[in-house]
Amino acid sequence: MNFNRLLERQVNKLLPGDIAKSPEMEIFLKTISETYNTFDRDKDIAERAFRLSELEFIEINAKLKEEITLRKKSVDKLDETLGIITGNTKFSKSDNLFSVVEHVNQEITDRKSTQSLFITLIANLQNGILMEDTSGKIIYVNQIFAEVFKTGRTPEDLAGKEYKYLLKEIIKQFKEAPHFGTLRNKSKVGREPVAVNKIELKDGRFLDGNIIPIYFEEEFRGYLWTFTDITESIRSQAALNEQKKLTEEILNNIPADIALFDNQHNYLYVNPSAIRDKERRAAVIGKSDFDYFRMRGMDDSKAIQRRGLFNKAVESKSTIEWLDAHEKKDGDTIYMLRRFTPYFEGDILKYVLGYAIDISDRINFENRLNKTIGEVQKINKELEQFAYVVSHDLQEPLRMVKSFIQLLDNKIGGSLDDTDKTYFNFVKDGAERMQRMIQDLLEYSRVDNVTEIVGEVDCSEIVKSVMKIFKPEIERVNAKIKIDDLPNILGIKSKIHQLFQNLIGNALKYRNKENTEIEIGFIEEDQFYQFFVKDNGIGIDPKYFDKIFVIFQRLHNKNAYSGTGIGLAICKKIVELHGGKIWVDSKLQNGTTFYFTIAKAGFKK
Amino acid sequence: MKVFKILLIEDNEGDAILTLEAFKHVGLKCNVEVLTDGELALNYLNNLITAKTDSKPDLILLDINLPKVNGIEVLRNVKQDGFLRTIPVVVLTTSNSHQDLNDAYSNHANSYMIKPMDLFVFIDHLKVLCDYWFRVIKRHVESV
Repeated sequence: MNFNRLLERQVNKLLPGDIAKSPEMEIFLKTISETYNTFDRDKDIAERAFRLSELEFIEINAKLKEEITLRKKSVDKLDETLGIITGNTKFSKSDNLFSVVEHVNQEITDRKSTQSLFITLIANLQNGILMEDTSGKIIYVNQIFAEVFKTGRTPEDLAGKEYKYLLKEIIKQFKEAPHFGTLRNKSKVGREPVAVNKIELKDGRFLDGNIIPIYFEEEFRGYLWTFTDITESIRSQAALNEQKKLTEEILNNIPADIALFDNQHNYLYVNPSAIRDKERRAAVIGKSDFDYFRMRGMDDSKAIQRRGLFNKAVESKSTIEWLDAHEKKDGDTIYMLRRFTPYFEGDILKYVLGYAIDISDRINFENRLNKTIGEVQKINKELEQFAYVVSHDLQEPLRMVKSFIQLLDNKIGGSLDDTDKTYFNFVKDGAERMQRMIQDLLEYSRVDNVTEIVGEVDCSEIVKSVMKIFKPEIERVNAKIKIDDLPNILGIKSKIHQLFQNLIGNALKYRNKENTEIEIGFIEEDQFYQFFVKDNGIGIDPKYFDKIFVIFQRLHNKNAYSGTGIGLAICKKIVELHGGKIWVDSKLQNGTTFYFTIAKAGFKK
Repeated sequence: MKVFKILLIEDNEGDAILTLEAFKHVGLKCNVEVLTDGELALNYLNNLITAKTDSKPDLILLDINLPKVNGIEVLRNVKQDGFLRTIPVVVLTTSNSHQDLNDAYSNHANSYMIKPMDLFVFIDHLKVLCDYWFRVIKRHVESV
């Protein structure tokens, strides 16, 4: 009995002979053997089948690989094309099959989204876009394109039309149309975009144009036209250029030194006023303040000082100003007013502006002016001294004249005839007047010779005392006098007394003959008191307002109103001595008001 | 009746004449001698010292601004001399300066009078002056 090889081996090894030879066992083993045989056969079939499918798989794989490479190529092409249009390049390089597969899948996904993105992009671009196929038919136009050229047609309307048909329409709109046909060919042959920049339209707008040939899988597919309205940018560029030119012009011609530093103390800009020599000016850019001083052959001391001020401006975040004085070789001093102004962006120092102007003229003028003022003050002082001495010394010969006139009058006065008497009276009168003037002059020059102590002066009390002096006159003319409660001031009592006496005396002297009214009052200001003495008298013609405060200036004939014309000149001096001003307001026949101020801070000296 | 002897030291001729004229109206029996500069005055005074005469002046009217030797110097000479210092010296000047006033009194001037502008006022003042020195007060008498 023959069993399957494997079963035969198991039976011979394990089964006892007598059992194996039993007919039941024999049937059982036969069945088993049969099963073994079937298994073996199936195994063979399976093995054969496996071998077959492996071959198939390799074949398929090879095919797939080829397909993938192809796809990759086309994707690369797509990338390239997209790159041309969008300016974005994305190349995938890999030899690895699986990574390629993965990449291809990725690319396919990308491509799908890229395509939709592309369309969206074109539709939304701020550029006018037109796509033309190989036959010259428009396949796509975006809204902007239709708007840029004001075709009056919608993109849907234009799609499918001949590009030449559209070109004819739009070419009219150019001031000087480029030869689009030639440019189109050039792009196709050269396989690269052709740009037409700054084409002017008849309506004054400017466009930038591009013609892009579309190649896909080495095959020409058509053109992509793009147009961008650059009018605004040209205008703003022009405005910017104009602004820049103007700024440069200003910086070049401004009579001020201007330098701009970065936050590292290096020069960013220097104007010609700061450094006249063009080469030196260029050489300093990018150099530090220390470098510049060294370039000028100076030691670091000046640079250290300047750096200190620079840092001070930066730390204080504010402009630092200082006066720089340096002596020239010829002995003149140059005064430069300099500034550092830091510029911050948030907390970060961006740059520092250095600014300097030559104020030598101003300073020299001020110095000269101060010198002159000093000289004038000295001369004034001397004049006052002179007036005092002269008026004093004049008294001597005058005393002689007067006394001898009296002596003569005493001796021969009685024997003179009428004419001689008149003449003699002129001599006497002249001498009298001269005496008064000399006394006034003395008094005037004495105003500044203060020996009295400055103290608190009760103006109400002063005016009361002045009223006592004028009492007979006031009663005689029945004058109505109104006096405010006057303040206490800081001053010299006798001078303030004289001031009120002169002004009130004037008010009475030049009074309204029918109805004399005088008012004395004041108002209080921050720094001073402003007093007034007001009358309803004969008034002063405004053209004499300045004249009345000058010594010996009289507005009236001495027969009408006596006096030498010293009173108001003395008033002016007294007021100025007390740090105030005096002025008048009046109309002829309509009363006069004298105003004067007395500084609260008090006395001048 | 005694005739008083008055010494007027005054360089200005006009002033001297005026003073002499004024004295005519004062009503004093007097003899006014005029010396026209400081040097002359010093010589005159030195002679008095040497002579030790009884004829020394009863009053000296002294101007300050004098040629050669000024009035203050003359005053000093008078007041520093034991014999002369009893003569009353009245400074008669136009100067109102503090300095002159001080110089005069610190050198023992007996009075200081400013020449008035008005002749009649001057006469009045001289009257008062003479009244005082020659009538009202008891003058110093040399013990011979």
